[in-house]
Amino acid sequence: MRARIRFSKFGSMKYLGHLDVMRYFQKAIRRTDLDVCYSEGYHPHQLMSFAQPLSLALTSDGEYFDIEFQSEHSEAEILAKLNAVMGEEFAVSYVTRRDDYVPNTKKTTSMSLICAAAYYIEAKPGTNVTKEHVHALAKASTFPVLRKTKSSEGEFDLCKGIHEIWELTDSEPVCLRLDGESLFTKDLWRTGLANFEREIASVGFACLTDAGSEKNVSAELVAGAISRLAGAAYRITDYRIHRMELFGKDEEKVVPLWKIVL
Amino acid sequence: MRKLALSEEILLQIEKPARYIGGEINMVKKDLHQVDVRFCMCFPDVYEVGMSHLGIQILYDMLNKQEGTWCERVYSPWVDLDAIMRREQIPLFALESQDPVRDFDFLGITLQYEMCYTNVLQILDLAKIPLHASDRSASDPIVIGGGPCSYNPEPIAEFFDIFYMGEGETRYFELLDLYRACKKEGKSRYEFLRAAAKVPGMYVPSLYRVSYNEDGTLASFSPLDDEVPARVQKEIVHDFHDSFYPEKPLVPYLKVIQDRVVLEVQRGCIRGCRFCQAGMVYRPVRERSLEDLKQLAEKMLAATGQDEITLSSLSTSDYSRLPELIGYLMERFRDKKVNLSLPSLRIDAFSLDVMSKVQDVSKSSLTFAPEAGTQRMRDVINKGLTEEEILGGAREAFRGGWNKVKLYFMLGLPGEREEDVQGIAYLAEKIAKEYYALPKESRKGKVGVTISTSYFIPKPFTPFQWAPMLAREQFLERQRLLQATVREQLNKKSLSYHWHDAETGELEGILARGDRRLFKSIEDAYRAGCIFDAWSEHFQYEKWREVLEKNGVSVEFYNLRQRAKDELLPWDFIDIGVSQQFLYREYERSMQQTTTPNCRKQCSGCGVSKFGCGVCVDARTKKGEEQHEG
Repeated sequence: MRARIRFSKFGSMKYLGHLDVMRYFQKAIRRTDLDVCYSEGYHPHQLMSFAQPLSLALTSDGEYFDIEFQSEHSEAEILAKLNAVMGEEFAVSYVTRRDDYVPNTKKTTSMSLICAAAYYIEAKPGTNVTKEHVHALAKASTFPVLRKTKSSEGEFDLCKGIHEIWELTDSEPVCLRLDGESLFTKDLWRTGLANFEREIASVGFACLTDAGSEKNVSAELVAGAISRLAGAAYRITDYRIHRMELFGKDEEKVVPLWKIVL
Repeated sequence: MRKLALSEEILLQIEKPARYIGGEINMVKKDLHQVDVRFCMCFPDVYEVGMSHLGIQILYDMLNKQEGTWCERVYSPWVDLDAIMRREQIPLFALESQDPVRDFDFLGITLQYEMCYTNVLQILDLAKIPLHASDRSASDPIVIGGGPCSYNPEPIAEFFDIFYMGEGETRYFELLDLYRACKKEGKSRYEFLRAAAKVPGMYVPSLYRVSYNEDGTLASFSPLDDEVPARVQKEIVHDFHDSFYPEKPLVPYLKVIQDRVVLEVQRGCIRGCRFCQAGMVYRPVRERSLEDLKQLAEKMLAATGQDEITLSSLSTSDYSRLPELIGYLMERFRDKKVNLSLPSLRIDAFSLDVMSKVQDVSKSSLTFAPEAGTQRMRDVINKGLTEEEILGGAREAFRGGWNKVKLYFMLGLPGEREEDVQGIAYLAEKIAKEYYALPKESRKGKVGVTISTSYFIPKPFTPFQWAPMLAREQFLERQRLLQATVREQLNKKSLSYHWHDAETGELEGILARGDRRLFKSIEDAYRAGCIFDAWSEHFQYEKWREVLEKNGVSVEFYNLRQRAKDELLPWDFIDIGVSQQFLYREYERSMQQTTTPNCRKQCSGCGVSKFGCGVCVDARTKKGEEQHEG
């Protein structure tokens, strides 16, 4: 069977890079008795694929990987067995059983489905970022930034890649920018910040950006734009960045990856 | 979030911050209210090296089994963090609690190689513990050393309160209980150390006095008074079945050097190679039972999720139940895709068969450690490996599909002649010829024979402890001679030659057989900025040279001279069980090129039978050996 796993990486685990997280889960699965599938050859590896790498220094409640098991297991069983072997600052939140793959069709992976990501970004006290800088980004109609991709480095309009910006206040979040229908549902506010403790004294906002291999807008690009508006050089240590969710297209609808069974 | 000693600012500007956060799977946490002795175990090198060390994992597990004791870990901060900690006055901290090491009761430092000595000072300095044991007060941890280099602790004796001689499994509980009792009775640090000196295996350097002759050699070495033992006998585990082994080893997040489950199949070695310190100090060989090993493998793999298991010992081919163990591991964990990583086994039909099953033959290389290039020289060092065995093994391997061979040698062995150096190249050439003697259709491309040489460094408690070491220039001459000879060979394009640098060897030689006077140079080198000397990119030969010169440390005295049979050696007060008479007899036999049989073939009366364990008494292994050979 195939399953999609959603997990959280938080606290001091922010200091692990993507490769360390992958290695961590490969070992975690081997500490359970789940019959994971392996590739062939002298160095068999687990049939496991991660949706989108998360940089060192970031935490997340919306991480995903796909995995295959030799036999059938209930979602609840997989969830319980994985959580029984997790370290203190990792947790598995959803397991989605996926429809069996139909021969002669391309296997859909989490990675190929991704189209958007939600982040919560907090400027630490002591930086000169204020809520006005967040408002300014939300109101901007164009915001050129330099973006490096695998193949090229060039100017890019950040506004084209940010679809929502929400300001977090003491009470309800306030929407500052929205293209189309909002993905910030009550559920997202709850599940996306389940393992993140907000610093009340900080300037905090959430945003929805394009994601995936085609047109990724990283949270660091957004935080960098805020620094620029505040007239400061961007430093990762000025911010706390938490990935809340990854979204994919189910038919035409954009939903959190765990809701997609393909 | 778990408390961390370092700020995010710092953690995000250094390389691999995960080295310093702890929190690994199977890390032990204890409630401080239930803890009365805090022990910090240190490997004075970077995290990825230290986390790969089995000994610390054994002691970590054992100490944490004792109620009231919490054992934590610390490793050397890498140079990037080292600079920040000095600048910002951040005290060195343990990984588990992230608390300062200075607040602990004990700091245990394992000494695996001489080139870590400046890192020992780095640890003490960053922890803000006075470097000299004599400057420490009641509030400082007791600094205790152990591991192979404590078999000559004298060069670093000034920096340690205690050295634990021998295997850690036996006396730690007794020592910690003594500490508890002393604390309860309000006894001073000095009173505790005096009492500790009476615990078997403990050497308290401050309770001994040394004097020197005019020629610089040791004149006397004696305890300060009658209550302090004159000799310290090494500690030894008699039966591993009743001992400790971690069933839940730590699982690091970072990729460490030994990123796998390690199964120690036996301790000690039957071979008696005359250059090998480990082969002497860990005598007699003691095996773990097949049943215990099977169960340990099962438990450790389940608790760690590691995908690889390796067998560890000085000479795994000599483990009497090896075929059964390997057969079991391959069978039992096949479905779980556990890779069996095999250490350098003796190349024979059995090991080739096993290796062909567990590794991709076309990609892996075969390792031989002949150590010397001619049979004459191999007889000198008592390396029981003949040219026919090497060539036959290579031939079999080539037939089995291998086409890469690695060969390890030492240059500068006692009595080495030109023809012995050149013999290394000739042996490599003969191996290449074996490959090309195969019919063309059974060859796969070209053969690759890699020669690696290191420089021979005489070590304490070996038959060569009296022997002179070569000077740097002589080493370089031999290396050049070998290089030239390799280039003269017909198959030179199939041979490649790598060598170690001779500068590290010179210093290692001085430290290995040094005495108490060397502490000054180690401290001065550290003050001059020497650190991570074991890392060639950080080793600062020029600084060391200056310091040694300034302190009048003579390479001639420590490395190049022949020591007399009756010279009092700095480590003579330690009793490893192997007698000095045996070691000297072995030295004489080496000069006559006479070999000595291994412990299973025939007892040579080295002296360790007084421990009454292992191969000395084990009828079971003797029987096993007969069956194996019959």
